[in-house]
Amino acid sequence: MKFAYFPGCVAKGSAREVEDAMRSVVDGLGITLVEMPGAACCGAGVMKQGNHRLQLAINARTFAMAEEQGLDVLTPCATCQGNMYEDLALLLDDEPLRAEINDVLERTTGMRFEGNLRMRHLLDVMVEDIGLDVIASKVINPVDFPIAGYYGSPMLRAAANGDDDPHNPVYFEQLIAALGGEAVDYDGRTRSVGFPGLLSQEKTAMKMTASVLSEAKQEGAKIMATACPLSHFNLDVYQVKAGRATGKDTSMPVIHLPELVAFALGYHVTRYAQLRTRALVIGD
Amino acid sequence: MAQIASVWIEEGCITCDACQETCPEVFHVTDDSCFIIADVRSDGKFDQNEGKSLLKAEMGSSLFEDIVDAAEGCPVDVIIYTTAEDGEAPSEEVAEVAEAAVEVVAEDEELEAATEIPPELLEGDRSLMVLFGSQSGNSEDLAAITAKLAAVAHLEGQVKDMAETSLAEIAASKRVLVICSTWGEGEMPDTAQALWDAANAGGAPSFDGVNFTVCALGDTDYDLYCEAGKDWDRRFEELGGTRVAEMAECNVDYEPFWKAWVPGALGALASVNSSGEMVPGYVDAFAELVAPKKKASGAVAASGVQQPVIDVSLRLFRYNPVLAEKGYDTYEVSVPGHHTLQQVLVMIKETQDGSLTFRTSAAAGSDPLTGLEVNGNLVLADCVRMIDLLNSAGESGVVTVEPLSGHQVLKDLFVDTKALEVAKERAKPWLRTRDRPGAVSSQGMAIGTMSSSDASRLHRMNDISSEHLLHSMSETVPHNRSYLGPAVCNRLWVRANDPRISKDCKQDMNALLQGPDGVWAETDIGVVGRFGRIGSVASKNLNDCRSELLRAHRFAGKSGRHVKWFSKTVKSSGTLNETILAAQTMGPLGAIVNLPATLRMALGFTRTGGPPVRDWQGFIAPGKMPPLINQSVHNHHEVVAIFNELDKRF
Repeated sequence: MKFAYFPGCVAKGSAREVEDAMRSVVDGLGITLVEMPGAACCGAGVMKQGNHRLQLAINARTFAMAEEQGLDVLTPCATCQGNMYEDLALLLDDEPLRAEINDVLERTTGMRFEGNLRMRHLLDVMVEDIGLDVIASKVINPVDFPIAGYYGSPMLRAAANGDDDPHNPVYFEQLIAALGGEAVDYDGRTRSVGFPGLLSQEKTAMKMTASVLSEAKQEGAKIMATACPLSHFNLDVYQVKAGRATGKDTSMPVIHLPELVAFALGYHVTRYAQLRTRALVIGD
Repeated sequence: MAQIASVWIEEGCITCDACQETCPEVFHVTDDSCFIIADVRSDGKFDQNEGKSLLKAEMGSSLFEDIVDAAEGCPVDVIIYTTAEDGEAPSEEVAEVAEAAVEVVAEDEELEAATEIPPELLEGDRSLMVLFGSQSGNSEDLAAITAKLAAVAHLEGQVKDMAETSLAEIAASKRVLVICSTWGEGEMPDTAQALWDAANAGGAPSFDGVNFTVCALGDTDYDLYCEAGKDWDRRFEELGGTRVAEMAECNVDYEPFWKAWVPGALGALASVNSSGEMVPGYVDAFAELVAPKKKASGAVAASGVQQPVIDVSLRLFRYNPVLAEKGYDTYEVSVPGHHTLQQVLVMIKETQDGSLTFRTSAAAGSDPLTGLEVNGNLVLADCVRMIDLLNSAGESGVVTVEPLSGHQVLKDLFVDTKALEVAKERAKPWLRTRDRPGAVSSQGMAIGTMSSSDASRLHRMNDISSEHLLHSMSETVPHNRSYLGPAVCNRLWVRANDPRISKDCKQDMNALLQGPDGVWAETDIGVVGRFGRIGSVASKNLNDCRSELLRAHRFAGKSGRHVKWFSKTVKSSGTLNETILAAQTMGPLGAIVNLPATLRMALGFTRTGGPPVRDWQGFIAPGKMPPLINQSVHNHHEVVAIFNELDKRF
């Protein structure tokens, strides 16, 4: 199983733990990732507010790189997935627009994008391509406690997360069960934490973040795992601030989806031991 | 894959051509009725397909949406079809039940109508003038359909354009049905202006003996709603005409209003005898002939789609405002799959729990306020079918129904719409028009000033069937009560793009959109785009709005700086630099106030930790972004070239 790898800027920048865990996950599950060292930021839905054609051209360049290798693109980031999936769909759907973007691409990079690829998120690949039974058979250290899965709303759109229902998804919960955990059912699992507005609408974003964390906690979650490294920023870095701003109980370890899988597959045992101690022994 | 098994035409086709325009591969409208084309049928015949011959399998699946659209768009609902899920042929039993139900109802109605209406009423002059005043063509289209439909009520409809009709012709008519749109701020359509001026000038003839009714088309966003139609209604009466049916006031999406009104209107006009006198007692009988048979009977759903009975576990949100208690009640129900959620809720209320409270509408799809949240999706309860809800419920088979978020819950599933209405009120007036000099065609005809491309673009932008649902699509709304919400912002943006708008009105609207409660208050536009076509249209509009505001205000404010510096850092190295983005967006003071979070971010979240020095350089020399801060992507010059080609502002 081979994919062109698009880690996203955050995994390469302030959340290097995603990259560490991804290396372990692909090793454990037998996935081959081909780096795209020239791939640029997907724009995260922010750049298109200034100029959507600009974001489309940057992403078309990334698509062309993957296409050259005849590979689909895999990303561990829900924001990258949602954003690039939407742009890919738009370019495939709108032929005049695709021609226009290709014209720019050819003049600036000499590349062309034909549309012969798919955007895939790690969660979708694990459930649909690898299979939950295969993953379950590889589990060495079961994550045997209540876990709240957080999807990251950008990829919750029709077909962006495989065949999963975008409004009532189940893939994350099924994966948690396959890893030996108990999936916590809570309303906030599909809600936005307002990451795009974090720096400009912080007050509202804090309320949204606190709402998701406190709901998960009320339903008995011991930790949260997120499929979106950008949402992780709100859920983890701003966790204390969100709790203070709203008076809600938001204290909870929040890890990334690749970390959860890597721990269960037997990697990073020291960090997993620390996490278990924090979640199950120290608690609040 | 969904598939149409068979499609046929019931009696009552008015040959309006709508189905042929929607799906010419299947429907061909002749002088008498619509026929199902031979090429798509398994029996190869060319007729109404009364025998319900099956469609060829590949046609039934590939043309599924077009056939459904044609059936739903049929003004008299005579297109009936059955579906087969996963390629299975429809259950004969179900098809027979549907057939029997329709046939029994049809026979009963014909019998009843035939015995009630005296033959002498149908003799002599049965002419009906369908007089239209149209700016964009809607009134003209509606007049054509109405005239054809009149034949069902034994009337001979004749369509007349106000631009080509004299007052004398009207005065000589016994029956007149007026359909008139309103243009701008209560103005007549250009084609109606001359006749209106004549009707108000001295020497206008008496309309004594003219039996009339009016269908007024308008837009509630204007202060003067349906004003032109109201003017005609009043003037006909002033000139001595006899109003036989109350005027209809139709909003932008006029079809449901017209459909509800036209049976009664034609019924009243049909009750006028050849002497021009109203014969009381037969209005309902004529109206029943005109009204779609299936709706009158309630035997089958709007498009006649039958589905087998399904078992559903319905989990309903309950809230008792007196006791301030909330929770969920679960009901196990067996219902036909084609029943709407609203029908099932009504059934539960009538048979299980009379206290269950929710909003209902008079007919399928007629009320955009029947929105509910079902398994995380937003739906209109009077449109969505139970079979579709069950399919989206996954393995659990549980359909959870909750009130819309972003609105105050008054009881159970019933929400107060006040929040949206207040937000709308804050954004009014929607449209103050600029002075329009008008234009004249080469034939000397006065025409409107909006180009057809502008009109089409505005229609596309405003193609939102329920603002109530759109308001709930935002996840920001429940957390920021002063935010106007996506529905109001969307409407403001559409109006600001209307070329008829005055300059100061446009400035007011842009100020609202750029203000603290405007489009920038939405923390996550992408969420809105998750919800089907409405969300997708609105999401694109809101993004376009932001682009324009950024251009006009030169990336001012935190939101502007956020977009600007995000793009700048990407241009600089090919990847986003979060440290510089945070520092530039929040400013030095913001960064200090936010120190704990800033430190964790700069130090790589304290876990595995990126090289701290690299990130700190972003604070030491913000704005310069030397390559030291972010390692550039390979062939970074290509990224720069794309930026320079498409947007040199960054």
